[in-house]
Amino acid sequence: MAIKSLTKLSGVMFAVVLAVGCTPAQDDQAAADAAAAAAAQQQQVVEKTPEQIAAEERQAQIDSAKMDVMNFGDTVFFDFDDAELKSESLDTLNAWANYLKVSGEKAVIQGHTDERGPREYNISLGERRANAVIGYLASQGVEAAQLEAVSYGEESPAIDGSNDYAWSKNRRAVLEL
Amino acid sequence: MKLSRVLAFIVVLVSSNVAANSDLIVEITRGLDDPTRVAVAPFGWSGSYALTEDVAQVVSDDLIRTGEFSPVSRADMLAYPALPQEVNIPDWRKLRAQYLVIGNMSPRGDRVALDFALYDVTAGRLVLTGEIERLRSDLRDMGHELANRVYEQLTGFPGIFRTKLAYIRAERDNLGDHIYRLVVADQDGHRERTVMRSRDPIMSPAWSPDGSELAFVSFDGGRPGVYRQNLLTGELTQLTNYVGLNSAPAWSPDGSKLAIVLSKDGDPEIYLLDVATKRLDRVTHHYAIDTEPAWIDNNSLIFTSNRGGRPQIYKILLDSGRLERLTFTGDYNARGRISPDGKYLVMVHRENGVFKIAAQDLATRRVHVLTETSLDESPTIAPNGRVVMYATRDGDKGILSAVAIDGGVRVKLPAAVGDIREPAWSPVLQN
Repeated sequence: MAIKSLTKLSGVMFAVVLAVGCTPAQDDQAAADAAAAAAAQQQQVVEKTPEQIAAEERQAQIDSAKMDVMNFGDTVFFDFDDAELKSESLDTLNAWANYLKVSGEKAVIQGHTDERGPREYNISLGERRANAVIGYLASQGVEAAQLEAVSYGEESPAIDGSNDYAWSKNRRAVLEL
Repeated sequence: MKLSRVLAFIVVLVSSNVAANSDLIVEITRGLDDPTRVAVAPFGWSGSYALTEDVAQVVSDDLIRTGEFSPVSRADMLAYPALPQEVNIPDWRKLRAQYLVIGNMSPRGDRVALDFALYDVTAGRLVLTGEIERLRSDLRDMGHELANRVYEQLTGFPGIFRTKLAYIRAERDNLGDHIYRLVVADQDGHRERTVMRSRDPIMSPAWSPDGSELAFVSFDGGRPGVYRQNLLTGELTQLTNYVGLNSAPAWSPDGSKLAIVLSKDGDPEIYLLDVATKRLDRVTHHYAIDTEPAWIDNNSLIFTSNRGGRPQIYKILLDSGRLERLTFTGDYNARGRISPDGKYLVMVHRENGVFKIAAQDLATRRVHVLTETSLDESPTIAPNGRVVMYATRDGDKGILSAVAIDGGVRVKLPAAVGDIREPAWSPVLQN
């Protein structure tokens, strides 16, 4: 694409040089033709190909979707011993669904739990949470092949501590590109 | 034997020459109200070199740590008899000792022999004599072996002093990043050895029935896999690497299979992996969470499932597939282990929102809560069926604690470094 534009640009410069090189007395018509040709060429440069336009629009979509993802964050939270999505998580998940659809990127969804209850059970619970996120993203049109669940159970707390605040922040699913 | 809820005394096990490689310190938080008073006199030594271990102290510490015995301090002893002809029973009666252990050690090439005797001081008679021989480098084992013999003579139960513990130690380095270690140590916390070290989580250590191998879960590389490691050769083998969970390995009593949890077919299900042929057989079929398998015998397993809405423990027969729910008290029972005599189901039990270790009598279904702390998990039962070890929190640290399966004695094993979790008690080890 870039090379093509360069070729066109040099064509325009050539036409301009030709026009400047001609004397008005020689042939007004020839000069006018050259100017018209140059103008036409210039028009072609400004008028992008449909592919270009689509690509730029897509990039704009991706950029805006990425902004949304950054605004809404990468983490959703859960209740104790529960893998049901909360309604307040949907803004975050919709932003991610939109971004993954427009970008086609792959995401790993980490499932985490708080420290309460057995570790092995919590590994399964963490996977449930990751799968709940994946299920929702898929329902919004993200391809299954773009999504992978990895459960860390209670092994990777976001916040150390044995209190309600730490537990509420650790019961989470984290989306990662 | 009544219990005293206030009796608390601290036994510091480490002697100076071994303190550097021992991180667990044993603290008895509740002993028996009338523990048996036992004196272990310092042992005689006729060799020309200095011994690296105080074997009599190892014996005494083993017995005291059960909470069933109380010591006679060396400072109070009127004499240090090493040979039977040096024992004067009235001396020990004055100290209210009920039993006396003496020993005499002598060199035998690169080995050491210990001749010992156990006296019933109250009755004034000799009840046990014997000889134990070990390599010079295995003197702690010598002490544990003698403690086993004394314990069995006095209680009728096999001693567990020659068993080991596997556990996970999680630390943070100076940048705050996690370091996980799979560790094996003697049951008293001595001779700790790191089997595996990783920046990614390590979980669920499980002993092979002959005690030569550990199965465990490692997230090395970011995703979980079930591994086995031979403790003698160090050989490490990855057994599973399926999409999703690879979790909770448990060795069958005959050693031929591992029960594991995989979610490759969508939901966490229990599978049997034949260790020799690698054949995989699915055991459970349910969209709920099925996990934490533990063997009752070669044909039956227990496992945790939330198929009823909340986690409860179920039993399944492998040949017929017959399923039975075992737990009905409380809305959260998980991570069960069956005692060696088959009488108790020991599990994580939620009571008033707090996680405790409880034992359910399988015949009567009565549930006894064994612990008084919260966040208690990962129970593991000693091979003699008398003691349950578990992980709990002490302030902001993860520590191990132990409690008698009848709830009588409680012992804390706080660690000097890091969070300790997921203890797994070895079987009785040969040699």
